[in-house]
Amino acid sequence: MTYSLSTGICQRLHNATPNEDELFNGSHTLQVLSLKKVGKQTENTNLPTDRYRIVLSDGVHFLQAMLATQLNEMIVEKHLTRYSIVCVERLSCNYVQEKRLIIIMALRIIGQEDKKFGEPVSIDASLSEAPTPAPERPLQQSTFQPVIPTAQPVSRSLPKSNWHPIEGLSPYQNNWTIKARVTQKSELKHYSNARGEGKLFNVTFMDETGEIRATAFNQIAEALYPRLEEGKVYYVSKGKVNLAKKKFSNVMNDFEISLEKQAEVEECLETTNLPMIKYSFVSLAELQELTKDSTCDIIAILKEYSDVSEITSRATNRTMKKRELTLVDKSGFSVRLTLWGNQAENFKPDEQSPVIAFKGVKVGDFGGRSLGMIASSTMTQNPDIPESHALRGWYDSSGSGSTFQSHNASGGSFSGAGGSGFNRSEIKPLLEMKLEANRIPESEEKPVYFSTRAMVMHVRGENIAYPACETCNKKIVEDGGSWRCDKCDKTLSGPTYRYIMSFAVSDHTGQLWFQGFNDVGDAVFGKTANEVIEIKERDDAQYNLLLAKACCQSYNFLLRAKRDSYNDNSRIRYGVSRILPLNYKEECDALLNLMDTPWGQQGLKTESNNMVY
Amino acid sequence: MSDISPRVNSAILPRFIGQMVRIPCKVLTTTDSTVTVQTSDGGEILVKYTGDHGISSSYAEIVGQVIDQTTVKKAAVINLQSELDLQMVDRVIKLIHDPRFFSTVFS
Repeated sequence: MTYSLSTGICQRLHNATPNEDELFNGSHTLQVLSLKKVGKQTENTNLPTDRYRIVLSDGVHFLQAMLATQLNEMIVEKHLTRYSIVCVERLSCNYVQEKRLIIIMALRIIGQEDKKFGEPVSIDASLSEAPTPAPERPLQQSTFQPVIPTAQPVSRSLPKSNWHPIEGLSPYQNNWTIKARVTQKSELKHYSNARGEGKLFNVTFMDETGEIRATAFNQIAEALYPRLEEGKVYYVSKGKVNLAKKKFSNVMNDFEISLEKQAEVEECLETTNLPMIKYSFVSLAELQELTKDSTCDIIAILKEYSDVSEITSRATNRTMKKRELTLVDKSGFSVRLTLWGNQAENFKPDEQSPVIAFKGVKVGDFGGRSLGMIASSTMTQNPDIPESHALRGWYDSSGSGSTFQSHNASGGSFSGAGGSGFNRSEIKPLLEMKLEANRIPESEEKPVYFSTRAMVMHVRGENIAYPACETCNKKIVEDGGSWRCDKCDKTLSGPTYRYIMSFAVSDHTGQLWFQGFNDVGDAVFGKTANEVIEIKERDDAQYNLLLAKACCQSYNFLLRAKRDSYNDNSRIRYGVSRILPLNYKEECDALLNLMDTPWGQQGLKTESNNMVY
Repeated sequence: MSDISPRVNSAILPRFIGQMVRIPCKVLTTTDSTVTVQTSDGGEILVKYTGDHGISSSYAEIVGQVIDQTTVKKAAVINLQSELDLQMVDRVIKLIHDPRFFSTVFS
């Protein structure tokens, strides 16, 4: 069978301009001269991310193009092979710097041949099979000048036609170029360790296939830091791919890039086909479902924000700057998000109540649920995505007027699982809690939380309250006639007492001692600490009566159990995190519901070991 | 056995004819010698009394001897307040009379 190739097409495509639609959508008959898989060499596998470079001839010239991945199957199924005659039905042309990249979007197999027709020559006179060891870098134009000087003095041209997917990066292959957006850039950090001093910064690169962290040290860091900007897209090549140090990064990738002397970074000026940041947003209401210390993406309206404040970290004794943002969204919930360091200082909203999208923020349980920025989090104001527009519309029409609830709902109700909420589903009787708490190993540093319901049996009368500073709550000392706070450096005329109590509670399984602070005293006595101290000093009998009246009252408790060791002994101390007076109706409902559970459906056992509640 | 007065609703009451029971209820109407009350399952019972009925709130618990399926002779009244969730009370009453529990725990 003879075929008539569309002679002259290669010439036209080589010189085409973007609006030559009929050229791109017309049918052209061409012959395949070669097919080559580019990218990570996966010899015997066929991945959907494989990309094939195809050389097509019109009998007079040949040119290179990339095959759209949706056509990969034709090659896999061996319908499309060398010397096939095809009818290209649709192609697109990307303009990269001054080069054209043609992508074949649709083609039809017409027939098979076993040799090439004519003596086609390359349409691009200086095009040649590069003698470099990496077969997937054919387009080398020595006259091509990179727009921005690279990290090293030698200016080399960078191939633009076949960038590697980030997902495909591995340490076993070094000849890749990725085209990715910087979604996050850290500050230039200084460090000193046993080997000396240095500086580093890291970025997160992201493209359609995934994301990867890259780090640069010392001189390279200095050179690259001003060149890589958050939000911009770059071509990066010749970095070293190593195993990721998960300790330092949250990025989902087993590998990370080390940008060393030979690494090349070039800004991508093409405005189409740029990788966009992928979010998977959760609504603020759904934050409750997430566990503490996990990360998430959210998009919300900035309702208000605090000034920058400075706090001293107890652990490191260093001061840190922070700023609190209050965010709200359509779910009717609000949440506080903390910015740190320079980001806190430099924060400025683009407008009144902008939409802000956050990626990779850490979930905390302060006040129910809270969010904080970590090194790999990103914040983008008013992003151009549909969710942002939807939020803007909602807020401008109705949202700004509504009230929002926070995850730490008003006192007396039971917020959900986790550190700051009394957890009804996890409620345990004292004996069970005691047994479980005693199983906490010595090594466990963090406190374990328990919920329980018990009755106050005895309150220790000695040392029931201490004189406290109004602002910081630390103990103040009397000095002559006035009181002085060491921490705030203030002098106060009179102390404000705060409760510090040791009290015993019981239930049907046993007895325990709890330690409580001011809120416990307020709940148990119904009087302020100042009043109670006054009674204590004035009238012994009345004080004892007060202590007695506090007994035989039941409360729901949220406890922090922590192991304390003194010398050889180690004991569990129970601190009261929340004390909640009982709402009998709620409790009754809870007990009735318990009877409806499978546990409640059992028969009575006369000698039961499990029926503790 | 006679010291115990289990809580009942109108459906369970007939089982205790001749015995003492307790009825948590809502007071509907009062006359000189009777009080009509609504039990936790929505039924109506007539409470007969002599002297002072002693009821001073909208909800009360009547302790008395069962005369017939719908009549009780009052022995004592415990006044509750103006709000009581009778549905919740009913759930509890049903549990009380569950065969698993009644004979062991409540009698």
